[in-house]
Amino acid sequence: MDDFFPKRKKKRELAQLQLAPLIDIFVLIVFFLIKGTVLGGASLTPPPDLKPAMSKSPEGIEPAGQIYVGSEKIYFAMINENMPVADFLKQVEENTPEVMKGQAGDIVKKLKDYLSSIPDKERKSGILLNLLADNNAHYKTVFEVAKFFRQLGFQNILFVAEGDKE
Amino acid sequence: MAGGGGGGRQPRIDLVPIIDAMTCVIFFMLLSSTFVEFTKITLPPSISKISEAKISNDPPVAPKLIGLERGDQLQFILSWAGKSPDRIVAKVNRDPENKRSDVIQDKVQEMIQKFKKKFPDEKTILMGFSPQVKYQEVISALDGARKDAKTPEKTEGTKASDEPKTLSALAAAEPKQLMDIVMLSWTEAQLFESEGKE
Repeated sequence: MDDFFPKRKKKRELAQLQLAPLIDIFVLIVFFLIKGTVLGGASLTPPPDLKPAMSKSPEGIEPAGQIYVGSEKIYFAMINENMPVADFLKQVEENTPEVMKGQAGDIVKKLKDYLSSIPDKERKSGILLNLLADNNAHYKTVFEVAKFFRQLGFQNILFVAEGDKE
Repeated sequence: MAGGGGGGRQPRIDLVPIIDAMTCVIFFMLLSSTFVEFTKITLPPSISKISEAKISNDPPVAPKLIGLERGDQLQFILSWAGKSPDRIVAKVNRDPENKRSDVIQDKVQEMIQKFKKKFPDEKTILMGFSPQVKYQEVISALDGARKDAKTPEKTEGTKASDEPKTLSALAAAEPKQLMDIVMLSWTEAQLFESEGKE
């Protein structure tokens, strides 16, 4: 009889929560959050011999072209060029960017190419330039560099310094 | 022979994708609501008033802050034109190690505060330095000028309930607006070199 009417065994399966897809989603969220915070802002990579000035101003930097003014050399990071400070000052005292020749003339040409490669969307809000100078750089040098870039067509020069948290 | 389908299998709803989707939705809702909170602006109560535009015939104040190199010291001259031209002069010791200087920052801040007490509507200042002044000193001076501009003008012990109600009082309670700083040429600073020398 028992074989004829087999007893129905109610198998109760343990409820299982599949965690793998949940973890997948969380991994994605965490990844994009970290990417947004770490890589979202612009970063500067000054030459190792440059000691940037310190500031208490809490503002961040904008993604833009970069220029480093060292004690001895000026580095035009966006065109991978550099020039001794003394030569640069001599050039700007004698000529405007339009009529510069030699190494300075080549740099002006490359900077103009760089300017023309900036998309219109960025151009509308004003062409930015991050200027990071050595703490020992003289005001005259910094001012002349800023003036040179203004003459070339860079509208906003941002004076960058390293944050001092004390 | 096996008969009948039926099978006795209970239909199951797979909840995992729903939980995933809901987690994402809730996460982004929370995220966006937080950002909305950050960017919320509290507007003062609406008060209508007819303003009369004043056309001033006074000469422009045009304040200039010049930092001059005086050996181991920096001399700051804050001069202005306008109806009652005047100047504030101060000297500070330079940091021999050329580190960020609180002394320079505080002195510049103090000078600009004095100036802003006299001319609260002035928003632009011209700043220039001697050619040999170091960039660190320029940045310290800029920090001082900008620090003052961002400090809200609130007296100690002010509570939310003490908020002023009149338009003029509201305007006075607003944080000072950021001053525009225009960099002057080092050649301009050289014009001041002979002044203030002892």
